[in-house]
Amino acid sequence: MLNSDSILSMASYLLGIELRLFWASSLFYALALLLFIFHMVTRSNLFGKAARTALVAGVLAQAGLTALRAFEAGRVPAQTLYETLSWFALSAAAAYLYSSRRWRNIYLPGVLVSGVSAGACLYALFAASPAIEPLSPVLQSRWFEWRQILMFFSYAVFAVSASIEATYLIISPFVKKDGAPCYGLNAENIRDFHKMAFRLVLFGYPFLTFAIFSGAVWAHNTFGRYWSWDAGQTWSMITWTVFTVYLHAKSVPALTGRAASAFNIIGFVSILATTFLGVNWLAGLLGIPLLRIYAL
Amino acid sequence: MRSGTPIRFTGLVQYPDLRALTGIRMNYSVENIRSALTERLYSVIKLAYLRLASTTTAVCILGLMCVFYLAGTVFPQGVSLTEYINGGGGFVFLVTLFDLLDFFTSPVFLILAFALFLNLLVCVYEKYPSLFVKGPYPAEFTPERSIALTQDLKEAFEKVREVFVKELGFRPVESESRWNVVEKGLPCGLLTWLFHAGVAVCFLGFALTYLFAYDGTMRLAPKKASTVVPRETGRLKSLWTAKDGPTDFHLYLEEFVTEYSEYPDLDYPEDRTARLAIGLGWSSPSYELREDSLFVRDWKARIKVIRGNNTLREKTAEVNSPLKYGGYTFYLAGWADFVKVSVDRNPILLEVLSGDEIFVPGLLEPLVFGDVKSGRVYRLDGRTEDLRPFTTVKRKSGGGYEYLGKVMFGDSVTLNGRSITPAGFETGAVLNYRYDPGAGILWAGGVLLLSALALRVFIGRATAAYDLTEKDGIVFLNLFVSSEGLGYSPDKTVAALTRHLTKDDIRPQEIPPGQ
Repeated sequence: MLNSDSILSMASYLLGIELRLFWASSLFYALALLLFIFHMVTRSNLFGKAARTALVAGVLAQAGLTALRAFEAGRVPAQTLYETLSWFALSAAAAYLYSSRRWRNIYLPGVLVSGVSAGACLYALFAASPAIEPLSPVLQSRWFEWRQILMFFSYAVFAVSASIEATYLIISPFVKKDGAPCYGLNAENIRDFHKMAFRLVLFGYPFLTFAIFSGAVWAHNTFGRYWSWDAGQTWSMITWTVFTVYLHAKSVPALTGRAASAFNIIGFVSILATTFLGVNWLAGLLGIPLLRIYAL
Repeated sequence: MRSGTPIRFTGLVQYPDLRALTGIRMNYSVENIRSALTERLYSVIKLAYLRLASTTTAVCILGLMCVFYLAGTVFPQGVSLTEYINGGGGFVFLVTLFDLLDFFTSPVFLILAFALFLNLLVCVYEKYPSLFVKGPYPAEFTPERSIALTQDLKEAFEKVREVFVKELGFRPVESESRWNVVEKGLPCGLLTWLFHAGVAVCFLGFALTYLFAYDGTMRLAPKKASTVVPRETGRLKSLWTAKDGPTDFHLYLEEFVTEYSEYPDLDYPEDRTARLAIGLGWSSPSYELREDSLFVRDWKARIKVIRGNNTLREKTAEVNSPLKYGGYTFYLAGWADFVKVSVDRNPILLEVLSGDEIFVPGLLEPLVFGDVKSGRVYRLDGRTEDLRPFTTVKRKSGGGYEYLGKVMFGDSVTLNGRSITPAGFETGAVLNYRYDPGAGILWAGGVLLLSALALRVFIGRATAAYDLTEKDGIVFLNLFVSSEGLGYSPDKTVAALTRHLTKDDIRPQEIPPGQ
């Protein structure tokens, strides 16, 4: 049996490795962002390919640190702010790499995805503590774990969808029938490319629904109220409702075009608001006091 | 008045615009007016029904719902207007008009939620008959792909059918179409209907909770029976009674246990540059174990439900594992320690709740005893041991408290010549109880919703329609493949079909549509 000093020394050593991996993945994401921007400016596919490679390296480093942290903590590493941001960044980059695997010379959505991943990583490293502390009894619940994992996973998938949607909105006016491809997009492939945005929302939507449901079960088991209208819960409901609107709009001919695209982008903005700005950012912006929040 | 008797409507003569508004033509009989009004009412209801059956209405209501949710996150909920204004809050007119400090129970929000529920109900009702209709397929499909086959028409027809049914797992569908229609997967229409129905059931659960649920807090003293005495009742019941009666059963706290983990603190810099230095390997973070760095990992209460001498239920309740009985759910929210204090070893003990002030004879300032640490501790190196119970003592000093130190039970601190000894303690459980008849219905609706949604999205359905034509001695397989959900892809279906047809030496050759 190891004594306390050895255990602490090992934990410190592992945390040091983990932090280095985290910084490395952040730098890879930042490098990918830079290369994607070069691609955007120069239209050179070489930069696009290099950016994708940097993104792959970032994902590998972050997958490694996630596994390491799971080993260190002895639990799923998606409970604290530091961990959820890391999980969000990894999921976004991995979801982008997977969904773009068959694209030929289309790299523009990578700008947003790599930016989001780099931002999430740097935010975690600068603003959150990496300490592995015991979980409070109220958080020791499988329902809470699933809520965290699936909610941030779905947010990441929606972020990739929004990046495709934004690319489509920007590029589609320049795509002409029988014209030269614009950033890899032409009249033939732009429909399938845009369809991917819808398919990603469709994929992420059940996960977000399950996350909200499991959060309600957890709250019910722990506090006795499955819903309390606190700002965190309400923001998750806002995101869910916006994507519900998006999916419904896709089935209405009058709304299926730009209106639906706008809903997808709004959904992404609400994700950014909750993930990076915190749930009370709008109140702060309007100068409204943050007094106590009560459960209904 | 007999029906059909002509009457005079002087009011209508005086205000002819009203006629224009109601659309009633000038034939002043009660029956005519009644039928015109009925007709108008019917047309209004019909219009409202049609609007509610529309997806566009759902989009509008949901969009408005988002705005309402947003308002609920911006304005602090549950505070009084005075608190809000004193805190520097603005938009007071809007806050008062829309009840923005209690927005989620305000009439505006409830009306919108009801409109959404009606929209959902009407849509579910409207779609119900279509569940029993076999998918209406058009008589003609527009082929998306044409594949040239090398066999004769009859043989090719048999082969294609065999590949679809035996190799790709499609099933033939009876249709009035001239084309052969096959499909694979789940009935998406039914699944879509089911998850919308699930949402409607969830709404019912919400409504029951809103109308009937209530809760409260109670404290269980050790080895004593306590009765639930609600302080209130549900919203609907509160119309005729202020609160529910006490329960006919009692809760008896047999044992309360706390468990602690020893955990280290991380020495980690706040400064960003120093954090970057760790990332670059120039310095390392380190964990340190400090004295009494104990973290409550769990607390458990052995509770019996009793009536008279009978034990009706018995459970060790934990934070995420409540006790349920008699429609109530009891959640273990925390604990309360009663510290027994002896002054100058006097056998008559003073009793105080930890955290509360106590005046000790001979001392001018009151003392405060902190939470009692007792129970089992799990050390970092894997050892477990029982804690020797201790508490902390503070003395009121000016506006704050002066920390005097940690005291083991049985040990003393001397203040102003008086010996103060925490002689013992009792730990009671703090329970939140809740009566909520809506939760079960909500879970049922949630399970229905999630199951149907997952099957609809992740499996879905593929439909293929094919037709064989012959032109200049060459047989063409004309294909139309579509899918719903993510489980099937038209491209993959065509690729698999082509692969199988190749394997059977029909040698297909895809030609672009329109040729």
